[in-house]
Amino acid sequence: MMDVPIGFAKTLEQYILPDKDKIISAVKKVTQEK
Amino acid sequence: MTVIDYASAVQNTIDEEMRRDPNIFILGPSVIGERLIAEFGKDRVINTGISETAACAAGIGAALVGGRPIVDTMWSPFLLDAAGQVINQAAVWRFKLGNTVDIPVIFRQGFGMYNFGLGVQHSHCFHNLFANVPGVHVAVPSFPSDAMGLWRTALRYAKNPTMMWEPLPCIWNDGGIREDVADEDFTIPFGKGDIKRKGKDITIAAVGYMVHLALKAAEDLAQDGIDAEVWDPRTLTPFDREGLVASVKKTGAMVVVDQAPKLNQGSAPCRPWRGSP
Repeated sequence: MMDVPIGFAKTLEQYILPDKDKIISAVKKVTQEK
Repeated sequence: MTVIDYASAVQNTIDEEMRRDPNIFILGPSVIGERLIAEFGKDRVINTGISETAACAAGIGAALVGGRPIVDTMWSPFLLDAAGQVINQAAVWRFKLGNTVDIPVIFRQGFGMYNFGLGVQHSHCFHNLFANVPGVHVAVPSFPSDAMGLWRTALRYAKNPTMMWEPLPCIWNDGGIREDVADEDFTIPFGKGDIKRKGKDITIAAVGYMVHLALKAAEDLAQDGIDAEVWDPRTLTPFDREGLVASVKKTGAMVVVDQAPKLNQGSAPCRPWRGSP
């Protein structure tokens, strides 16, 4: 198996597919912190 | 009122404006269509071949001498091949020539189609990148009516390079976004955001197709007792700072939903809290 270059996985984390449930989670988290 | 889909709203508006103003013409690597050529002629419907740089350069030159060109590069990631033309030519000619010229070139490009099986070079989202370019106006309409009003404004009144970013999921997801649109002629000013859903608990500032996901999320959140307001800037440059601040002052909290890299500090709705214009 190829080694994953350092930073590669971290870079991929920046690409999040649009998702309604992720919006809902973010809104709930922020409203709880208000 | 007439129900119209996003793609038809844009194309119909361009057609109508081309009939109204003979200075408007369209050019680019993806410009095809016997219908357009039959109506407007080959001098106003120009396929440039696959060279975004040549298309943008030709459009900028035409705008400097009185034309009102629409440069259609279709896939926005390939606009980067012509980024120098947009950033280092179109955006600066007004300043280079001492504010003696207008540059009413319109750059049209689609972006953000994330679930269509496209190659990675076709799916980037660079609207925020260009929103940080001084001298360029950036519009990202999310609804057919917004697209119609903003396109009319750009084609009638723009004096500076104007980028019309089309969220491709608005055209292709679920058969396209459809809306009941007023039949009368209307325009929408740049720099004026719009509340797509009123709420009191939190502001969701969303751009492009994310407005539609935010609206769906808001409906689900309402079931849990959270009344979310969905706010759409419609144009990133100029940006409706006052509109967004007013919404957040009312709700007391904000979540930004933008189809851009997670760590993109240029996300336009963050601007009021970074102190930039």
